[in-house]
Amino acid sequence: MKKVLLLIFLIFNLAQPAWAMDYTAPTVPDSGADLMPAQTETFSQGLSKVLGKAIGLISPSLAEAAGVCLSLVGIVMLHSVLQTMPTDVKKVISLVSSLAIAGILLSRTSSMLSLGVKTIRELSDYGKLLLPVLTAALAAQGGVTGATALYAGTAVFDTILGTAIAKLLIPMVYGYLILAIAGTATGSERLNKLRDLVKSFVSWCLKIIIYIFTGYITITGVISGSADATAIKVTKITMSGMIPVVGGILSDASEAVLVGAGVMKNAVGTYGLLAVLSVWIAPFLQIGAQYLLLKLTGALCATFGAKEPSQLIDQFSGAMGLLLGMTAAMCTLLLVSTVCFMRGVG
Amino acid sequence: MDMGKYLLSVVTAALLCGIATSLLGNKGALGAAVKLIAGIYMTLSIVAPWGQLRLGELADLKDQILSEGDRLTLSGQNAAREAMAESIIASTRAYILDKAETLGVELTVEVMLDDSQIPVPAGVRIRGNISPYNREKLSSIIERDLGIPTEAQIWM
Repeated sequence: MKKVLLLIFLIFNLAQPAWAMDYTAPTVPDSGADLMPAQTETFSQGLSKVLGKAIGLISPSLAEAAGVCLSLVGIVMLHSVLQTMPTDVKKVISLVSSLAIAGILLSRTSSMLSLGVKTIRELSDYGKLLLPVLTAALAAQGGVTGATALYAGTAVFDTILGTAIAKLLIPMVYGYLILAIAGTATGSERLNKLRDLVKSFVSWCLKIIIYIFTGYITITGVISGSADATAIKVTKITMSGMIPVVGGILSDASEAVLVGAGVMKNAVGTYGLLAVLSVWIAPFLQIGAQYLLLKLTGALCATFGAKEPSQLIDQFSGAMGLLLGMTAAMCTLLLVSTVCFMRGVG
Repeated sequence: MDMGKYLLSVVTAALLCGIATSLLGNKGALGAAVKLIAGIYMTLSIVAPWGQLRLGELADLKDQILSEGDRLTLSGQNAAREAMAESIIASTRAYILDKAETLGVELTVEVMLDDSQIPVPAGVRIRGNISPYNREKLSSIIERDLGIPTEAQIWM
């Protein structure tokens, strides 16, 4: 009986470190609160709930986008009809229809760009709250080298990507649209080439940042993970070389702390992953739906033989594609780093 | 460098050059001159602002993030050490109390740890009524099993 009581006492005390270290994930931002599942213990269940709710949320904006696309089809049809008439003002018709298409799409694209920027800022801000918690939890779990390296890498790339998107890439998308409208209206080959250059530059920037980040995080994860695992092994060997009783006490305490920190880190990580997805998924689906509808409209309009207007619609869908790439890049950065933190020491 | 202003100036330059070359670009020598001037203007508007770019700010940011990473890691390490210390103190105290109980004495035990990264019991303060025989017996158990030398055992 005495031994049982002592065992209960020891278990209680060994479990205590898990409560002494309190790591909780930052609360999901308001924009993702509606999608965040109540239970976040299982990632797969949480993910399916987030997806289910997000699909329900985008239906109204889909209907609105479809209405815009129908009006575009109407303009292009009118353009095609006017082009068939024997007239000398074909260039003017082209210019007017391009401007009409631009007029309809610019406000819509602008609101999508604002939505994208807001989502990217929210993701970046949430990452800035989540990363310190994961870093401290990973360090508590023994991943000292990995925690610093992962935090530094993610924070640097998060800042670079966030700044590049807000200060360089989004203005470049506006520039791309202006060049696309001017190029279609004037038929200038130079403007079209410059437009293509701007588009290539934006997508190249995003790809380069994500490639370098993924490379850094993979190499750092492997190197620092094995360094930390070795350090933990060395500590265990040191403890096993001590007087058996005190060695056992230290070993049990160390094990309890590592397990406790690991459990908390994974709980924070799972919540963080779902929170990031909750913030990102609805705007991504909304912009994605707009992108696909514009692609479809562009393809449909091309069948009327209206080359320039359908190209302009395609270029607007290209701008949406760039925006999708930007939001996806920021989300990928946070998801990859969170998973690396969760993988921890290995 | 204000990127918004930079891009606006590049797009404006591109539009001006586009309009100028489409209006005058096909007119013989004048057209060739316009194309050349437009090319120079375009190149200058793209290249010139990059000369103002200062990369020092990026290095400062990197240093700032690295020191923040170190601070967070240290806080995690300290939290783990504190949790471990609490557990080691509790387990050591429980071990001593268990041994005291087998000797039939009731004691109050306070455990002190050293400052190393893995905290090791370095001393004990023991209060209670205990006979010299039992005290010597318990003292030697503490020294043998827990590695706490007799001089680090304070009996009160």
